Amino acid sequence: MSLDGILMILWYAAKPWLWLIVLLILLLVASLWLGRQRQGKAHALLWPIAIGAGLAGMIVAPWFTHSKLSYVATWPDRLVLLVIGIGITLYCWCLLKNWLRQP
Amino acid sequence: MSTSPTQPLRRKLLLGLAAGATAASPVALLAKPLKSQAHIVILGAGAAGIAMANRLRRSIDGARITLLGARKEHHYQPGYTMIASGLWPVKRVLSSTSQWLGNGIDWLAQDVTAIDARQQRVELSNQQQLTYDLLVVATGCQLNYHEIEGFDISMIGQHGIGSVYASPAAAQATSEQIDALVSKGEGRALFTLSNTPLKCAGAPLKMTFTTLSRLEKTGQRERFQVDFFSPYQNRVFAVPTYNDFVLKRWQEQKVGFFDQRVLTGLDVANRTAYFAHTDGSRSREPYDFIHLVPPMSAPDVIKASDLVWHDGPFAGNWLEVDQYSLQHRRYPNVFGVGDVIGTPFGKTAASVKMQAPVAERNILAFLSGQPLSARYNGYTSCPLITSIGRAILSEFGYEGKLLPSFGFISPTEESWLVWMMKEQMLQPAYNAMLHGKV
Repeated sequence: MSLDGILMILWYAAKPWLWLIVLLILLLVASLWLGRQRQGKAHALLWPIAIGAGLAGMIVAPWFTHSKLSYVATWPDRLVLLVIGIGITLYCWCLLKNWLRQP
Repeated sequence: MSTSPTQPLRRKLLLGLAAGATAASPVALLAKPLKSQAHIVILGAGAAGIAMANRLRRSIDGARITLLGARKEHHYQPGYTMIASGLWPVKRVLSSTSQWLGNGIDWLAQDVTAIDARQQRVELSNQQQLTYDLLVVATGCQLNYHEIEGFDISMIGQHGIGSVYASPAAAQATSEQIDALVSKGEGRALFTLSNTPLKCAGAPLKMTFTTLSRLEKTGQRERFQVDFFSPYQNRVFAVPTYNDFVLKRWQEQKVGFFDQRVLTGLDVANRTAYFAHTDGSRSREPYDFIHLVPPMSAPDVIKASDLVWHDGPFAGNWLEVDQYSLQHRRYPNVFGVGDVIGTPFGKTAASVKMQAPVAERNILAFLSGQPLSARYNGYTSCPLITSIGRAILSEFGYEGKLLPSFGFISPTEESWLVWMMKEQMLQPAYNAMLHGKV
């Protein structure tokens, strides 16, 4: 399948979820903007919370698609799950980094 | 290709005009719209018809494109197995035909009742007659439930009868019958296969696998007997790789396999199915749930026309086309796309995705008097669900050759990613196909 075709299908797949994507982006921008004045270094719990959220996302992702974790069997399956986990981790880290600060 | 029928002079002139107005290569043909005043009639407003209408509308400038098909509701048929497996609501596969059609397509909500290929004319259900310069046959196939004695389509959803093919409502009713079996806590489920070419030939297998998942989930799988009846010898799927996989898995899952048996009738009141064996004998099988697969063919209007195959394995039942160019073998201004065509493979939505651009290119070439160079390789794809939550991405073409689209996905490994593609990505791909975008 051509790259054009894959991108077109991804676009069609994303269309019903555009509201959610926009909402998540707005939430992130608002969080970064509103929290920009907060001072101090990153809280010790920031990474554990972000990683916890990523792991939780990895666990529920198969269930969310009517599947189960034990069916994540091939290397592309694991890679997709890893990408989901890393994505959620980074998003949470960005979302919380200004709010979880300690003097 | 055999002889060309006589074409009225007006149409010859129209086609000639188109030929003079275009560049030489098929690539150039696609680069800018072809100018033509041809009247293109597309029979069938399902997936193949809509995809062809949208493609031709964009690639031909000046042509009149008429789409014929009475059904105002569009059904995403690959979703039927998800409904019948209790995973999707019916509404997820419903949309309106009109929402998929671009500007400049004349849609007549009428079915065709007769085709006169020599006179290049079709008759509609409202008695109206239309002439065409070029005909695209995309009617889909006909479900011949009436060939199962003692059965009527209204029985789906009653007396333990299910059939995923009939409609979204029938798929929902099938799921409810499976639920009833599960609730009963024990019983025998029969799954059948027809001895005709089938659209989505993987669907009967998927229904068996997802029902097994539902039975296994009860924790009392041993209380249910699951049997599969195939008309073929040791075969349930045309591609040996997948056939062997399925039969081996069913053996592991303790599914009874009975081959060379064709379902001929039902005694609905007594929940008994009748099978004819290839050796001429007959047998009767009691069931608590039965999944029916109807014999299929091209619609009667195609079978009654001169467009049907006259000889060979598809004689009298399917549209005659060259399996590579998708052009009719006797009427060069007729092309076929989708479930209706008589080719060795190619009766899935994914097949249409590959057939539509081939037919489009060849129609443009035909209108401009160029050789038909685009070739359909028989591509057929079926995410073969092996249990609820995982699937194999089976992709193949003529001669059963495996044609994987993604190098990183094994065509023989069960995968969550493939399941996700079926569950989340296939419908967007289908929608893009309807718009003629992929």
